[in-house]
Amino acid sequence: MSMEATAAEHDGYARPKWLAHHFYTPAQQFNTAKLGMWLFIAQEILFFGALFVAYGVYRNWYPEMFKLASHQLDKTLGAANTLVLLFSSLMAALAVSAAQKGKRMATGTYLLVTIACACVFLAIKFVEYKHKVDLGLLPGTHFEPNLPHGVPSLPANSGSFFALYFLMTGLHALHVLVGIGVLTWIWIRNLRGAFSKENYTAVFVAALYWHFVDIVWIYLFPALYLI
Amino acid sequence: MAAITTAPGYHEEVDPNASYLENKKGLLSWLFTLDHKRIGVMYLLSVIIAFTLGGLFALLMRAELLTRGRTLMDADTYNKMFSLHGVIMVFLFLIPAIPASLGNILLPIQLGAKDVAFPRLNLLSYYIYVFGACFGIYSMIHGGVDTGWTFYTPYSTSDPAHGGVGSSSAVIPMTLAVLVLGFSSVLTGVNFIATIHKMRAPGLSWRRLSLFAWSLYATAIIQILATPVLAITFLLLTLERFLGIGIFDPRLGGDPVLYQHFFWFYSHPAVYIMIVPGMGIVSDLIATFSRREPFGYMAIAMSSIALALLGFLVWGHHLFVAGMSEYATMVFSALTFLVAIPSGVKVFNWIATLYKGSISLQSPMLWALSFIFLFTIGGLTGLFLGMLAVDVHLHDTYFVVAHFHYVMVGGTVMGFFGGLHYWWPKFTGRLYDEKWAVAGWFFVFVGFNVTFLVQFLLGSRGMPRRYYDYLPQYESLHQISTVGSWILGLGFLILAAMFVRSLFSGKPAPRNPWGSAAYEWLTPSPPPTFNFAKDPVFERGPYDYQVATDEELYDGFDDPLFPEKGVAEGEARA
Amino acid sequence: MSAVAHEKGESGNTRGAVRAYAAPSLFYVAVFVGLAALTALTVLQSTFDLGKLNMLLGVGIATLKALLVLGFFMHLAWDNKFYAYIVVTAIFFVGVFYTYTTNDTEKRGLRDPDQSGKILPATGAPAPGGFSP
Repeated sequence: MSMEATAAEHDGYARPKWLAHHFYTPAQQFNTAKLGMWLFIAQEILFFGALFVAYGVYRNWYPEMFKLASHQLDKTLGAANTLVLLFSSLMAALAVSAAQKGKRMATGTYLLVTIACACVFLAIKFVEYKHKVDLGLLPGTHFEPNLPHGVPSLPANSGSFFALYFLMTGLHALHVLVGIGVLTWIWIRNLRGAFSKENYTAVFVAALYWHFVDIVWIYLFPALYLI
Repeated sequence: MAAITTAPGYHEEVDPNASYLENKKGLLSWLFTLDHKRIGVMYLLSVIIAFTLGGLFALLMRAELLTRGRTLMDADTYNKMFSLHGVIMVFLFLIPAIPASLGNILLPIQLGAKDVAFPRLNLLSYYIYVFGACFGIYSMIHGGVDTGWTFYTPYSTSDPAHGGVGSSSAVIPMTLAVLVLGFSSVLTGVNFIATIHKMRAPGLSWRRLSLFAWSLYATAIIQILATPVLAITFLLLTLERFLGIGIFDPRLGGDPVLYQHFFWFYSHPAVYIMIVPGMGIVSDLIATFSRREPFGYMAIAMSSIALALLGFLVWGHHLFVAGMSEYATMVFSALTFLVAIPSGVKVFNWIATLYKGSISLQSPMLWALSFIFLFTIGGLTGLFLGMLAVDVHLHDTYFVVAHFHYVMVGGTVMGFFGGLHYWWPKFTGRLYDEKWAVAGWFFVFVGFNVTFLVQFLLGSRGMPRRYYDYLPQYESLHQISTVGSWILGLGFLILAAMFVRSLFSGKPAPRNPWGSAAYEWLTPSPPPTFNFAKDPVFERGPYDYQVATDEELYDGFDDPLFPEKGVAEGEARA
Repeated sequence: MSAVAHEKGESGNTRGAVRAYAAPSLFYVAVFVGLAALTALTVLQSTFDLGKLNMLLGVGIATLKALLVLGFFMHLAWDNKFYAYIVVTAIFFVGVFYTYTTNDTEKRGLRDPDQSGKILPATGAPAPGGFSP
């Protein structure tokens, strides 16, 4: 009485090839994938959140040091990076839109631009890092500033600010790198025609990840550059 | 419908009626499996190995403490013993044991699903676990850590090569190991929440979810939200050690207590990862072996969620004497009292379930009852520690050690073994010898209490924890404790022998040896690869004994009240 | 989140098909323009010294931008509310972590000046073992 054999549950319903064996319907598969990605994003919020807590605690202790050290960062490059990432987010959103409509070429193009923006972001970050290395503004015990003349010298414990700077932006850059990898793979799959109006789960879920990476930078920028 | 189904995601054809053990044999089919039951079995093997290794270190530790001064090893080695015992037991056994092994095997079956939401992610979780364990083994080969499983700064961040005191560089691979193991935990959590939300069979509403599933849901919340902070903690620790970033070093403007905040923000919710699934198992066991629905089902389910959420608010009670501000200590103490309430809700509901239930004291039930008794002791002693004035005297003494062993061993390990006994017939298809099971339980129960009850006395009389040597007045209690550890070890040996024997020559298990109404007993033992021969639709709850049919309940179960049921014609009694 | 009720229906029924809202492309572009404008605003406010207000504005504007991305790019505004609850819960616990930690780190030595303070109460000198920037 408790279990009814649903003898014909698969008859009359043609299972598409991309529907995994353990799902009943494409909607179930899509919604499950979305839920999984949101849960992963929750984990990432805690991951970067913990770093922001460390930042917050430290900034409360040494507000002046943070201010002075932060002025060594280039606001223009930071703002440029922000706009680059925001634009890449737009491109990712449009890629999802195109995939929802089954437009393969448009999806591929938007994905490609997203990846390109991500690469630009990393390039700008590289320039910034190189600048810090040249000036000796490195984390912790490697903090040996050789600032140009006329610039006020930094407090002795500024190595901690730069430690947080490199750790936070470095982990973020790592996530950007992973994002490039994921988006490239999605682009390849799209090229092979894996997606359609009925099946764009992977594009949607990859875009969710990418948007989250953007959100982290939205908070990193004012926290580190605009003190 | 065809007899053989080719399903996308499975590269080979799968016979929907063959058991998951028989379908596709060979080592590679196991190493690349997507079947949650096989992944669960692999996890089970791994955590049992970890438990054995951790237990070995514990026995060596206790052997050293048999006499004052040097018994077997020098002080530095002793420090490594307790640190490794802690790290292995916490991160390689307690955190993954119930969710990743029993949870993986049982959850989809209890939900009427074919598999978890993300089978490939499940396999990846397992391999990440193995990868992390390899880092840990590497660290052990290179001397092991002696910082305690908590890796407190500044000891863990000081390199003796830079002059002065410091811990060995084995700290780095060990913390990396824990970091990697954390990712395994997170991915399991993601998988389980998605599975419980999305993969329930038709008719399985939230109110018909088994209490074990509810507990896995709560545990998954904690796994997802807490573990990333541990990853950051160990990243900061590693950077502090390599780069001297100064975040935990007062000489550079940092604060070692900040490390403790970061560490315990994960590690306190982690202890709820350890205990909540054990409670879920106990709920299911009590219901089956009282042969009635749990009293206050929703209260028990919601208390799991409450524990998960409240557990995030109390981490500071590990830092009471570390130098926190008084405002913080007061807040944390008050919240610690609050977090005891959901546990109390569960204990009362279990007892109410037992009252006027049709109780049978078979081996799984012995473990469940032990859990209730021992966890209550452990939980109440935790409240002593939550009181600020009392904690000043008891912190870092054997009282703390006794408290957490009562909840972790008297709680989680009892729950784990109870579940293992209960579901053993289901996933191995074999019965074990009940007499050996009772003997094993008896030695474990007695040995555990002999080992740890005296440690409450040791602690309240001032014996500090993690000490290699001690004053003469503590010697007799330490000796009792050590002898207890041998009895405990004997108990586990008996159980190990019993389970191994069962695998080789145990009687074939019937579909429902315990007469339970829960859903996993509706499918054969062991289950087919896709869990049910036909997609199930559930029309009753898992604890509805009045509504369940005789056919569902009496397949292999000898009910002493109704001896005519359950014995098929010509069949021998189980 | 109801249990799955798969339909036994004729072939070709679309009941289980994926359905997600797709906003017009111009809408997404408009969101981007808003985000860019907010970025300009936040850079602008950082050039003036407004004391505590600077940090509040910075966090506030960043949160507005994040909400735009979350709501529209990530579809939270049109999707199942549960995903929004997940995000809120995660942020809530980051808040818990921050609040309770700073409740400690900022309030050392306030009740009992002999404990954990950075200044020795008797002399007013900085406590030993600390750090002088």
